[in-house]
Amino acid sequence: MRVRESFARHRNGLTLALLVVISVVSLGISTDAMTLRPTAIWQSFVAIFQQSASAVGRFFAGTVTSIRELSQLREQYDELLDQVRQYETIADDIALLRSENERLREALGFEQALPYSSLPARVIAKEPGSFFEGLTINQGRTAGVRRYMPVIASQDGMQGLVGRVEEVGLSTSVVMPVFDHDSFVAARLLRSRHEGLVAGEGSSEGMLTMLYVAKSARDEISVGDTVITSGMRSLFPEGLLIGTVEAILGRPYETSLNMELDPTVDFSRLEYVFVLTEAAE
Amino acid sequence: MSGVALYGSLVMAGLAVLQSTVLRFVEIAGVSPDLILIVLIFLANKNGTMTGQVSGFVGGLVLDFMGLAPLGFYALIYTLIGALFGITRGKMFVDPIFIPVILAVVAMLLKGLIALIVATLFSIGAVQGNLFTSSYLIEIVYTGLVAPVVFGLLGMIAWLQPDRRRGELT
Repeated sequence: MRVRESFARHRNGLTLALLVVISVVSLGISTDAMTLRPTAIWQSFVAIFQQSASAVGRFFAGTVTSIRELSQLREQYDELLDQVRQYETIADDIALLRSENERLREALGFEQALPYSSLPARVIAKEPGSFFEGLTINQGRTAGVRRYMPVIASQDGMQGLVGRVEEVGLSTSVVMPVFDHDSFVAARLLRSRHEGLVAGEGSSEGMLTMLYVAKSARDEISVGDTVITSGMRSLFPEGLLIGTVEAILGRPYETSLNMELDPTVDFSRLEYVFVLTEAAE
Repeated sequence: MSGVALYGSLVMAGLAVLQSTVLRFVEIAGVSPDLILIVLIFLANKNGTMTGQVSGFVGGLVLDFMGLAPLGFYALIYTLIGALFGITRGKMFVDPIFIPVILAVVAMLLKGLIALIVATLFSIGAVQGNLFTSSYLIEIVYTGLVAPVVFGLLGMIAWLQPDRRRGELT
């Protein structure tokens, strides 16, 4: 009886302690290397809701756009369809369609031109919290996606490195972008052929950093130089664009050069990506 | 566990999904408000520690499942915030604007602090890179500005508030 009363009195504290212990134990397990990853199992479950919510969001966004367009057309009809405006609207539509057509053609041509087998995927969600930068794509284990597969994207006719697959669910995967704090890519300067390691700065607003470039290479490197994957003992195949040199940092007491890179891929407008299915280990 | 803690947990789980998908459309400078945190502090403030900590744990756990965060990271942060803000129940008058803003900003700062401690203890490198940025500052301001609106909307739902459930208030 006394135990029950004591439990009832300290119910809040005991529950808090239990929840904290569960969280801490999970953290302890998650931050170590594990063969069985509970996040991957749960991710598959949560993915169902993510995909549904994403689809509903797109539906409403599309509906709002449609209503706005309908309203504009009605106004034009009421004003006896001003000929000039009508032509302008048509011209705009054509320009939009042409732009969309070019974008799709570029993506299609890009996929066909790739020397690797690839799987197109759409970015359906961003990391919901503030501290991590994962991107959720709508392809998972059933489509052949595996952990550590490289992910690239085509933007403005350039194919750039996005990152690597970090978690795989049944129908979705989480991609660790190249700017993530835990991302390291073996890289090479395209023109001078000097090698280094590209590390993320942990934030999408920050740039990438290329580390460990030989100091003797200083005179051969200039701002604007292109950096590509080297393929050396790496998950990533050779020759993928990573970014361009924005600044060269080298202090007299340091043994190597560091460089700030501007990523090739603009992550703020990333919609479609390609998972390289053959290049992974 | 009380009914509101169970409902609160379900709401938090649903919000976690919305936060990663639909809220992308209201981003400012690539940042969206932390809706989960606002709802959590509302639930905790109105219903107490138990509801706060349980809802925070469930919401945080769903966040952990959806991204690159190690399992338990957000669960621990939101559990502690839920428990702490539960203590404020009945101890302050929550006006429609200023108190929600203050609560949200304090919760965001607390979230950053707890995240920093957890990241240090468990050697999670990604946190610092995202914490000391203008993005986090924008998120604090954005969350603070959105908080009165969310508090106002949640205030219309009677079952989230024990006083109104009992019919003591109209």
